[in-house]
Amino acid sequence: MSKFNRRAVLGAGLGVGAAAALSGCNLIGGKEEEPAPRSSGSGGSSGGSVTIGIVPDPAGASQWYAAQFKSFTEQTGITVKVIEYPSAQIRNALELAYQSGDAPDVVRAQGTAAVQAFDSRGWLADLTEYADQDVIDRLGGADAMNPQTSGLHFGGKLLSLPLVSRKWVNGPLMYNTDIFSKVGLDAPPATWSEFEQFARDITEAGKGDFYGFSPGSDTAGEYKWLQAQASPNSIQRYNLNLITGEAAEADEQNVAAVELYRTLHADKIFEPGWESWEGTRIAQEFAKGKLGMAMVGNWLVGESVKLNPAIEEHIGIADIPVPDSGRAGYFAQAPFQPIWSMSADAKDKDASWELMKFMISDEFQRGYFEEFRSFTAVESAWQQADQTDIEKAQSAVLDNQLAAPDLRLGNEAQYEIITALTAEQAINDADGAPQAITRNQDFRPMAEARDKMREELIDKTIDDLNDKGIKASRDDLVFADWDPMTDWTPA
Amino acid sequence: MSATPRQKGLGSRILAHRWNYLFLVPMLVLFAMFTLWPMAASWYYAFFNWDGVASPTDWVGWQNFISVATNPVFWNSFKNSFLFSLVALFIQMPLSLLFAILLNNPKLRGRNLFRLFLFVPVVTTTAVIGIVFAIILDASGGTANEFLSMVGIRPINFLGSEVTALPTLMVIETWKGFGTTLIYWLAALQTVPQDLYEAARVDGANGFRQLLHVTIPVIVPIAIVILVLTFQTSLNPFDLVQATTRGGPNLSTDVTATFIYRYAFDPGEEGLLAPRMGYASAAGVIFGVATLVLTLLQAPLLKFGKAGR
Amino acid sequence: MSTFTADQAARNKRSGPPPNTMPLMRRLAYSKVNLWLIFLIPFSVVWMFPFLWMISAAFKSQSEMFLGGIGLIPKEPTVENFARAWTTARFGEYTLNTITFSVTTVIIVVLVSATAGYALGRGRMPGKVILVGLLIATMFIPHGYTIIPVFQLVNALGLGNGLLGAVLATAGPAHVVQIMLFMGYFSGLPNELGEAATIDGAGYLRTFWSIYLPLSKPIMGTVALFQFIGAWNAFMVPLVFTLGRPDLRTLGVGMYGFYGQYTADWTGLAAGACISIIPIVIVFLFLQKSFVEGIAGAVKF
Repeated sequence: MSKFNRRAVLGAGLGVGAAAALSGCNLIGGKEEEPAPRSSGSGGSSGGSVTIGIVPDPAGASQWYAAQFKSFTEQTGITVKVIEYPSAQIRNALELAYQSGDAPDVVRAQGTAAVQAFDSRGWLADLTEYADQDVIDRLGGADAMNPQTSGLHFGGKLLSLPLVSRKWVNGPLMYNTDIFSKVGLDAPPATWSEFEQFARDITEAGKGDFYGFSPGSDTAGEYKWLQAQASPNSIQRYNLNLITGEAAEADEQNVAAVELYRTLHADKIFEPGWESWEGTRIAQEFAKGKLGMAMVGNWLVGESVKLNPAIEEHIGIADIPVPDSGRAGYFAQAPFQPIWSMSADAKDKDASWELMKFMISDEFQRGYFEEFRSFTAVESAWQQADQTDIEKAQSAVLDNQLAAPDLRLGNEAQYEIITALTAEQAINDADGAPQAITRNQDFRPMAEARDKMREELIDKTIDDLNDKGIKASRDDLVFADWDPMTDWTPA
Repeated sequence: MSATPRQKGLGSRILAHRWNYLFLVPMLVLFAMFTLWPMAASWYYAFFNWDGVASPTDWVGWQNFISVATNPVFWNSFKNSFLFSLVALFIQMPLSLLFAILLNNPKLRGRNLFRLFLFVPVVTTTAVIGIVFAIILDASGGTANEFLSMVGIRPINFLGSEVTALPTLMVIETWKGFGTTLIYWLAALQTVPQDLYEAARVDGANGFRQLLHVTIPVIVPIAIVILVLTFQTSLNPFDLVQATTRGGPNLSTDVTATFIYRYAFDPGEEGLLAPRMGYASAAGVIFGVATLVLTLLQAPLLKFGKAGR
Repeated sequence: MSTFTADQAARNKRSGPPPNTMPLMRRLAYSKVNLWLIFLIPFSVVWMFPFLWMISAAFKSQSEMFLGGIGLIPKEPTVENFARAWTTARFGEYTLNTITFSVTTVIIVVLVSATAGYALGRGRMPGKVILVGLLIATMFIPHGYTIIPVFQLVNALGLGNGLLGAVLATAGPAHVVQIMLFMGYFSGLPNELGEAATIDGAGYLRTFWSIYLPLSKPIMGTVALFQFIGAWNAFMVPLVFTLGRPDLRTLGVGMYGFYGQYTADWTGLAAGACISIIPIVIVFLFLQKSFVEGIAGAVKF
């Protein structure tokens, strides 16, 4: 070992060390000396500053958000510092940020589970008082913003604001007309057996170049979309049958939907690799022309076009297939999907709210629609805009949603029961269906076992509630007058 | 320093060494904060039902240990962790010995270059190279599968299927760690005295018999040290697993470190509303004790190895 | 003069036996061993393939990657991926963070182990044996299982929002091997050096700083090199401390995040991998002899 080498190590070490010392602003950190805001405008100076944690989804969102926030800064003088979290890790990243007491003021706490989790630790600010009439009107008025059905309220508190339309959550069946005509198919499948047959035919004809169908991601969660056309959609949302008030993951139609997936997977009909797909991967495969059909969230339709503009003319949009015995349900007219929340310890709550309000302004909402072609939460922002044929087809499918009973509706007992169910890890069915599908195992016994745990937990929660003096019974889960084929109105 | 008179009392001896003690302070402070305290705290936390915010107050006794010990998911991760070790000990070690014997031959052309090649993965960032592997092995468009489909094999979802994910990660982990054991073996081979080979040759031993009767007996003591070192480093495949599969699909690649990580830092992934720090600590303690026991079991071997030298 | 002696001593101590010549094996192998090249050459290509792919893909256009194909030579080489990784995916910041993180870790570990090694190697104070025993005993505790208390401790100290927290979590746990290296080295140095300095009026600090510490350059070099490569490649600790703070991320965590967002941007990911891996491979190539000897030393001590 030569002396020269050692010197080189030391020399390099010291040199680099000096460089780092000069630049090492990140070493100590500290809340007081915020680094220069990434997207601040030059205008305004005394408006305060806000940090916001976003996900740079869909493609191009980084630049778009930066431009929007620049405009916001020019209008209000409030500077915005953007923190970008990867979509696959946002929940984990926010969890760690909150744990170390260092979370952004406004966060993308996406989805009911995340908001519930963060709220259960007291990390989110109650926005109820901030949301004036104007805010409520923009989001569809008192009806849409009813604390018991909005999807944005938790335990009566407004904890979140939405980004996309309430109808945007469930997706359509997207199919590739080019592949369809190659295989000699001229219309999308209307029933499950047509769907299965088409998938098989296309995969066989594709010989590895293209495939009939694939689940949208590793969770295969959209099998529940098939179920929602076949039995009460409360099973899709809660694994409960709200007509009978019983746990119903083992519902006939729900099992049938999983079994359909399972046989298709076992027979190697799906495109290989779906078990590890996340995020926009399905759109990528569709854009490549490797998939004949996909059931995807609406935003992934536009994403496919963005990835490969040539695919646009080959995209067909259809309703989710119904069981052979005929339609027996619809998607529930979904509550809003929670997206933006404020941290309870936000440094400047007023400025943070200004930013949140900006994100449901016409400017922002229309801009988002125009850029990403997602139907946004403020309907007036996009209803007048020109829509492509695909978007019109999406709108038509979206209108096929019915009002349905929601457990966050009504009383405290219902909310407590559903919270208990979502909080219980052992019956969280996230892995249940993919396990049955990929391991080629019988789904029904697994679902029945989890239903049994659900039943026990419901009974226990009801007892606990009664002990605490909160009136609760199994009747709280029974909506006997609900017909899944028509709009439901509370009695 | 040797001048310090031995007869003096303890107090004055300590005083005489005050500078030495002072020099130990930085190390001792860090040692206390980042080695001793965490070890003690892991045990302490393990007795609480605690979400990591504020101080732990909800004492649950041995409950966490019991529920970890009865959780099949934990034992699944435990089993996988040790499978990684077994592969390191019984595949990586012998295989790298064979390569070391080959690359120790001065007549082999370009042997230094081959050594370099085999070693480079060691200095790369596991998480980064793991992602590179994930892309190469992707079922749809990954180069490995493009090759397979060229020869008419249906794409294999290496990291996405329960059957192949764990073996695939083991191959990557072996690729990554191979260079280190190779260097160990090369160092060991250097200790074999030349005259033993000469003697063996006089006795008419061929290459294989020389290996069996000269090389192996001489390097056995070092081999035991290598075994212990390899075992230690093989126990923590967290970087690779977290970066590529995060324990999936269906927990088939879950290891104890990813199990603990989920419960402590990524509760959403585990279907929890809040972290279970106490539970995760209990899992860590159980794993730590098991590892300690296994390491101690190797101690007699180690002693034997030292004696043999 | 003293410098020379000590360096010489160190070299003798650290270098292995002279290269093995193996006269017999050589003769046997003369004709046969190179047949192994038929295996070794293709094997090396497969072995190095991840690197070849990484570099090749980093220079391919996204559309070329999109259309597939297994050719390694980009049809129209582009540096666009590097630009995207550097700015959009913020690998520029990550690189700076990684350098800060690694260098600070190295400085702390070298200083702390050198002072501790000096005290333990030169002094025969009460409690030394117990302390050394304790240090060695903790070597056998698996590292990953203390991450929770360490995370809590760093946050309690208010260091959770800077890289220093991650640095301390990495540099803090006793680096027993490093301390032992310094200890062994310092105890092997002749006492006359320090005594001469004392006669010249140098105190403890000056004796250490200007006589002994400079002599320990070989150990410092080895420790620094290992620590640098280790810190550069660290993942679990930086992940826990910086996943929630994208502006603090190191390259490994940055790559993890990049993959979590742009799973399908293979060329960008390849460029990010190049930015993460190539610097450390270059450091290694320049100093490979020291590094390899350091590793080999582990089985020889």
